[in-house]
Amino acid sequence: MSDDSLLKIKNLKVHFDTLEGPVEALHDVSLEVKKGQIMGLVGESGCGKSVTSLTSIGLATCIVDEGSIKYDGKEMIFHENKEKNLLLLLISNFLPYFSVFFLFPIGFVYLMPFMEDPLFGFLVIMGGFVLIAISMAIKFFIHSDNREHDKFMRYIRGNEISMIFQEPMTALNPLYTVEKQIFEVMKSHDRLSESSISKSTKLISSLKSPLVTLYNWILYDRFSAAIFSSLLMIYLVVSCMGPGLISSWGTKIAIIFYASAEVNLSCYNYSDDIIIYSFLLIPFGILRSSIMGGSLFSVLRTIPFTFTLSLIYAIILWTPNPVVGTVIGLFLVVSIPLVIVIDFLQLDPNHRNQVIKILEDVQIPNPRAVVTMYPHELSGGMRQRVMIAMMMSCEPKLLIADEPTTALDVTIQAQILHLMRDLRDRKGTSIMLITHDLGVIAELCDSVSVMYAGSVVETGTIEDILANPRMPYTIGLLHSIPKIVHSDEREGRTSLPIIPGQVPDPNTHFDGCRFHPRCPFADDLCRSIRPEMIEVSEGHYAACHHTNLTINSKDVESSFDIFSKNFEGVGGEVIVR
Amino acid sequence: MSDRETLIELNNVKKWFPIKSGLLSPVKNFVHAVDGVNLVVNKGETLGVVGESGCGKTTLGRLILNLIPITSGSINYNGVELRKMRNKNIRKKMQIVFQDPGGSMNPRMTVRSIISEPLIVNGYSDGAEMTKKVGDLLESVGLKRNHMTRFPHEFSGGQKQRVALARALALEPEFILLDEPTSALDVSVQAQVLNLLDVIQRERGLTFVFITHSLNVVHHISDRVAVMYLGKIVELAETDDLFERPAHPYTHALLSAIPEPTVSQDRNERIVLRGDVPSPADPPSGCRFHTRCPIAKVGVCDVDEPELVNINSGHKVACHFPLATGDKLPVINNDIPHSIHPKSSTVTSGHPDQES
Repeated sequence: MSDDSLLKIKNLKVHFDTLEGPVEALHDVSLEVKKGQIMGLVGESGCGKSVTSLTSIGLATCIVDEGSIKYDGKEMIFHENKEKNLLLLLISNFLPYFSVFFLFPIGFVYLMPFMEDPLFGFLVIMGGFVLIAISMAIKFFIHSDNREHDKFMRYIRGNEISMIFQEPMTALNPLYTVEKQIFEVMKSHDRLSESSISKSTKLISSLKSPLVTLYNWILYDRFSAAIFSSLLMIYLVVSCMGPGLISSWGTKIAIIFYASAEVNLSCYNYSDDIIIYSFLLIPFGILRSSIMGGSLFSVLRTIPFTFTLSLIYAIILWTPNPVVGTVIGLFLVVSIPLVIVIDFLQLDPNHRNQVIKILEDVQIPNPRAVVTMYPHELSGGMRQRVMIAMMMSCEPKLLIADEPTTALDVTIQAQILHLMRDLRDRKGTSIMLITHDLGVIAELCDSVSVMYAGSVVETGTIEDILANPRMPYTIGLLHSIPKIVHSDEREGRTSLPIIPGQVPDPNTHFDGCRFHPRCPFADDLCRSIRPEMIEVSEGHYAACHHTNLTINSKDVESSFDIFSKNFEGVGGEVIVR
Repeated sequence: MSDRETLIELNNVKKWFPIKSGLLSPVKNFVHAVDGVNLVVNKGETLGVVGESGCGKTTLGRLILNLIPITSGSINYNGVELRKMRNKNIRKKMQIVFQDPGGSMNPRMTVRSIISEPLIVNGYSDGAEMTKKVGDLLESVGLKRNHMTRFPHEFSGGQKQRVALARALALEPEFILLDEPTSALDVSVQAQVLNLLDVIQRERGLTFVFITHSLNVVHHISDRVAVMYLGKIVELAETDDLFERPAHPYTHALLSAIPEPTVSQDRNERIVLRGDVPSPADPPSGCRFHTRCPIAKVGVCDVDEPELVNINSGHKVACHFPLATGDKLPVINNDIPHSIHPKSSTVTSGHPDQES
């Protein structure tokens, strides 16, 4: 069609392979997203909206049977040409079997002790391995197209097309801060600016970091001050006990280095005294922490802590020294490099500012505080904003939003929708908005496609669909939304209009229109022949045989009401699985 | 409706959840989930409770059913205080339908045992009579008799919700609390379930409290609507009254935020509230809405807490400056990003700003 189409899906048909056989998720989907346009995709759950979106960025686990997805003129679906390399494929599949079942047994036989030529056996086995390597190389060569396509899709995802998922909490990693997650996206798509610190400076500062951490730990934390002071106290106690203990400690150190069975372990006799002395730490610890500041209550709260601490010290002093030494040594060996590495991996201030700027773009209040937070600390709306920020950091040309506001409240939803429209206006991003809420569609979209049971049944501009729908399903859907009308128009409480029945199971086979069991106009034509998309007015297509009957929506609504009254077993149909 | 008999009466009901920190530390703070609610539910009516998530709707519902104990205040059911009634007697009179129909049913029980369980607990004997009763219940909610041998996973979402409703109806209660029964359902299925609720209420003369965040639904089903914000009722009126003459700025903003499936020119002219609901652990002083309110006056709204007063017959509102009919809220500049709006730094969600 015209040049301004950005994403064009044509006659897409996919199925999922399951244990119970194939499930046909999409039957016939044709869509078009134009540049700078917000396109809405609407339908009930289970009608294939999300599968369409996932397939179009190559993330779906389904198998594409036919159809094409063109992004900016480039084909996104890779059709493997199996006939071209059929012979090579056969050979590469055969070679490993040949080596395993033929060469390896012969080789092993020659390796047996009663054979004369073990070297020959060894060579045969090696030859088998070489054949396996050759078959792998052939496969690598055959799949080069596939790899290139993967590379292309990797480039498209993120750089050109991005996606916002329905559940921001499950799409964000709960273990990383917001900053880290946005940074990761930007790094893998080369969107980071030059770092402000050179690598060598960063390395030196990270090497210093254990000392700096220790310094800060002692100076700024009251508890750690207590720990440190009690450590000091232990040292004092031990040294005040006189040369006897010191010398026995010396023996202990000697045991570590010259561990021999003959050395007398009698030095443990002092352990009881040490326990008693270490309880002296409690008042000292309290004193130290009260010097660091804090109310009487908070100082008193440290008592159980200090008590436990002195107990731990006592146990440490009482246990044989090699154990203590090993624990301390392990602690140092593990923790110091860890501190260095963590410090080295910390974000550059320049990059952090970049992340903050992106968060400002999506109107997150107080972004400086938000960057260091974890997803669970944010509210639902903020999480969704972070998701949008992540996507916008790569400045994609197309944004696929899969139910971005379904989990949010109306007031927050209004904010997010406003933000998305704002992004379109500022950056010209096209948006494909997937939702089941026609209200959201009316709020945001320029054009709409309505999906039902795996195929698109109506497309058109927003005015076409909402003011002048022609497919009975769209009319029924619009009809069944509870409307807020003024009391003079509303005669008491009436029952809501409904579409009787349910969305059919994807595997149910229909010759004709998939909507016919629920449609008031269904006749033999609908049951036997699948309707094509008919252009009812310019740019407005509907897949229905009876578009001449649906010109006046009010008539259709009333025939729906009559139809649903006579419909057998409302809600009584069970989805057959 | 004032001539109707009162069924449930809530007097200054409060529910504070303690926030504990650490093993040895005492209670640090309280989440003021429901903070002083006065409410009357009349016999035979449907009372809608609307509000954003985290405003205490569900907590209020659970308090009414005595599923969680109240912190202070009292709830009277038919003139008897709920705390003095036995739980078994309460459940015979009051039932609940939960939001997630799949989650509220045991996946290993058949529909028959799901529906008959409340009956067996209350002394009915299990037998042919029970089978007939369960079948009748299933038919009354639009399912078939032979569905009672199925398991919950064999039903679609709407049908599961029907089964949950049949379970709630089993003991023939007078009152059913509907906690977002349709928010997990599609529009067309939602319409079917809402119609069913309507029919059942008319047939059995039930009283409903309908908790939801969807204003379209509440408009359709309710006789009266209570709007909640941060644990308090900010507006209470008859449905038509509320939707045509909203007096509280929050109600006004909520109504304006409903996306309607119609083509309109004034797409941009809606009131977008800034920020999120503040944290209920640290509610704002004065009027709780003043941090997001476009007409808040400094010195009044952030100091005095407004009472729920009658402004019209049966139309109660808790606001210092209630809007008259036809008043329009000033549209705050939607184009100014929140971050550089002068007020926004104080206005935002409780979570990030508590730290700073």
